[in-house]
Amino acid sequence: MAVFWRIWATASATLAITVLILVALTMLQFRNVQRTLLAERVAVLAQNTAEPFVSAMTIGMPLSSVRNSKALLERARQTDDAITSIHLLAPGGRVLSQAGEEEAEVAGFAARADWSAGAVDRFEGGRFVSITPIGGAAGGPQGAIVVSLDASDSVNRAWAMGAELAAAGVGFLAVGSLAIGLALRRAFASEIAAFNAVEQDVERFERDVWRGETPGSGSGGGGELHRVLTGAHASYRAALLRGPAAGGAD
Amino acid sequence: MAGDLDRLDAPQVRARMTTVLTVVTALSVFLFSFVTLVSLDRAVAPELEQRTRLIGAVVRDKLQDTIAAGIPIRALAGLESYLGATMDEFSEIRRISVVTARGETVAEVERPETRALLDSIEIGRRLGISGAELQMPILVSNELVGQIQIVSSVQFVEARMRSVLIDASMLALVTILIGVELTLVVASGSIWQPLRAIVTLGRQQARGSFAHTVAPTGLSTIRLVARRLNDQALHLAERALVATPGSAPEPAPQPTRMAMPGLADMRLALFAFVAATEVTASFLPVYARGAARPDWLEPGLAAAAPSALYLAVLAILAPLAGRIVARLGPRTVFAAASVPAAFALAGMAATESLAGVIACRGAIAVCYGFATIACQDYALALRGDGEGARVSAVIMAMVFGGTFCGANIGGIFADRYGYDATMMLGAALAALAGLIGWRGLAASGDASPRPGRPTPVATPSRPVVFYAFLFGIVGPMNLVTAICIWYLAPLRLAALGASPAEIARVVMLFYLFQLVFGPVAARLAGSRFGLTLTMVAGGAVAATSLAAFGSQTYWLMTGTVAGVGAGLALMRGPALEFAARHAAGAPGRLAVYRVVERSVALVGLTATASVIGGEDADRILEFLSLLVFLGLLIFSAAAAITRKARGDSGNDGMAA
Repeated sequence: MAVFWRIWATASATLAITVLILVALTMLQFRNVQRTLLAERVAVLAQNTAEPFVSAMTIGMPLSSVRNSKALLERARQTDDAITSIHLLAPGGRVLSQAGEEEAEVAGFAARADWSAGAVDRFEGGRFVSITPIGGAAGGPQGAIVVSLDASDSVNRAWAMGAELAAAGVGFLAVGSLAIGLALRRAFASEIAAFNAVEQDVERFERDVWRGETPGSGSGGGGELHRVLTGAHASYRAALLRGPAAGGAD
Repeated sequence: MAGDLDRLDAPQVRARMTTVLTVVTALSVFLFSFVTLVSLDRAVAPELEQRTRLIGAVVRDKLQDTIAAGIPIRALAGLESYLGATMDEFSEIRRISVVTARGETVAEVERPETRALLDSIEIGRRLGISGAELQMPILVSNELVGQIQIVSSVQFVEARMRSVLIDASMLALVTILIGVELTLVVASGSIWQPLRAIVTLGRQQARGSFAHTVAPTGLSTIRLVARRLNDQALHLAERALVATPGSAPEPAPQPTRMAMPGLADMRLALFAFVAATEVTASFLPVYARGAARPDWLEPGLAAAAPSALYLAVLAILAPLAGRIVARLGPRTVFAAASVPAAFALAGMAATESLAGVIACRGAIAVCYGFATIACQDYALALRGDGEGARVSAVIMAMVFGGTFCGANIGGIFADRYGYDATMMLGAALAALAGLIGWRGLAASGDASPRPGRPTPVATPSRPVVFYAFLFGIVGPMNLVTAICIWYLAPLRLAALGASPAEIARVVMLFYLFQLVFGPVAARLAGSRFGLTLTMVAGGAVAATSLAAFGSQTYWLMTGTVAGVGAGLALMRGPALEFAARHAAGAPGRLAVYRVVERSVALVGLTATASVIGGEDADRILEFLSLLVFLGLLIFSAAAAITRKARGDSGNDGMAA
């Protein structure tokens, strides 16, 4: 039976690793999908918010002169509860106008980030910050919209999904392990029986020796191993009787 | 018991184990994937809903502004193209339509979709998965002018999940292969090897020889018996005194510990090593082509260069390595080969230029050559009478299993984490393989030979058959592998637009077929079919696939690869055995075999690389097919003639 337990353990471990891989890959995929969806959505929102400003820029007005910029940003912010703040940036990174909470770190990040080439996203610690440059036909972008989202909801959802999958995985593992055990039991019946026969042979040999009988002379039976052990033991006894001078090793 | 002992290496054990594991794992993955699909769908739904709402709001704002300017809703021109553009941006939307207050459809754009898998099996709705529907009113001056209806697609999640599932299934196969190996190693180490040790020792002692002991390992019963047997030998040695005339009697020499090497020791080590070196198999040509190269080297040659150097090194190394392994012992050589391999893989990750990639691949080739030849010689030395084909099958299984797993892991890893990370993983694996090899490969210097081993005195076979074999079977076989699988397939698939993971899947199909058909080949070769016929059959299968399928589409290329894999599988194991048998009287022949193997592939690869422009793939495949058929003809003719000549002369020494 010892044969069986070890094989079963290793086989179950294999199944466990497979389930783990599936869960891990799904979680990774979910994270990627989630981020892509979010980034795309925020990009569309930023484009929309930027429209009035772009019109202003097209006729040559500088961004700072748009009077109701705060109201425009506020209207965009209210389309989604998760948005914590929207900032309007000048080309140098200076904050021109903002709606929502005061967020110094967002402003700091926005000042440092290089958004001249294209949109910049950052997903960190439950907050999603996206900087979308606007305008910029010739000579680079004329400004940027920074949207800051509270992404803790999506993080929670990821963990929830992970927990769900892990629980299901454990269930599948339990059932699968059982199935493996049953199948292995049947598939390796002959090997298990062979090993049990081995153990019985050793049993029998030991019992004969304890009883003080010459092994093999008593009750018959026993397999090849029994014969081998019997032969070895007999040869040993013969060598002992021959005495030391004749030497044990030849 | 003797029969039972031989069962430890029996292919049936591995086949049974693999079957059980595969069936249970496949079922689990299949059912679990439904759970995953539902879970992922539920998790993504809120975000999708948000997006849908946003789209609706954007479209509505546009429409409201236009209608407020006085244009009636029905006269909106270009609406459908605007809706179409919006749909292109958001891939999860299935239909957008604008409806008047009275219900007439003004504009509608729909994305054609095949039925989702879940819908096809009718459980989608029951599981709570259905596309979201949203309706937004269009208000102008507080008057309801119309409505926007947006329907999103169920397929969005499914499509994302499909790639996950395929990757997971491939990794599951890898895990099963590794799991089976590990299980067999565990069983072998704790039961079968120790059992064989004590039976061998017991038999020795029964014959009266008490010169050896064995290491007590494995399950407790076997350990106990081993200790008792050891004690018998030690006790006798204690009491024995060697009487030499004229001097005090001194104790007899102590019994020495007997080493019992077995095939299982080498399996896992070889497997891990090959997996490590082959992590780059699916993307190396693409990677090399993209590396910085001197201007005079065209992309085709650049892509082939690392593989070419690899083959050249292996060809040159073959005779040398055999001798070194014989001198130093397989264990030392194997462990020593793994260290530079690890460094070379890390180096390949670090380097930017083509020269660096080639140099590292060359170094890996050196290590691979030493390691595989070490394991091959270790295994070939162990084979008893009539077991030859089986031992070759085990070697091939490890090489191809390792390649399969390595290429698989490499492809998926590269897809998600990039090429460099994958190569570092390969380096770590190589180091691990070295450790396993060090522990596993016993120093076979003082190994007791298996009973029934044929004595080395044998008349060498006729050279005609051997050379026909070399040029008719070995040459074409390796040519096809190098050109079709290592070079053409990755490049052609990349040209058809496949990602690294997808290319890896196809390349892996090749190795998978070799794995699966390897034991079939062994069984065929061992039966009345015979070695020769098996090899010829394999060649025929490969050549037919090459001619029939071609390389025009992804699936046709896959078919070619699969067919070639099956055919070559029938050839490879028997070929090694054939070479080993014919080398029995002339040891140099095995080295010649190895050299020819690699040099032919090298020549073919460089020739193809410099000639091909990429579009001529089909032509090359046909040429290969012709070559294989020709080779089969030559070999069959030589074998038939030789057999006839031998039959006439009545000498049945070497079976063909």
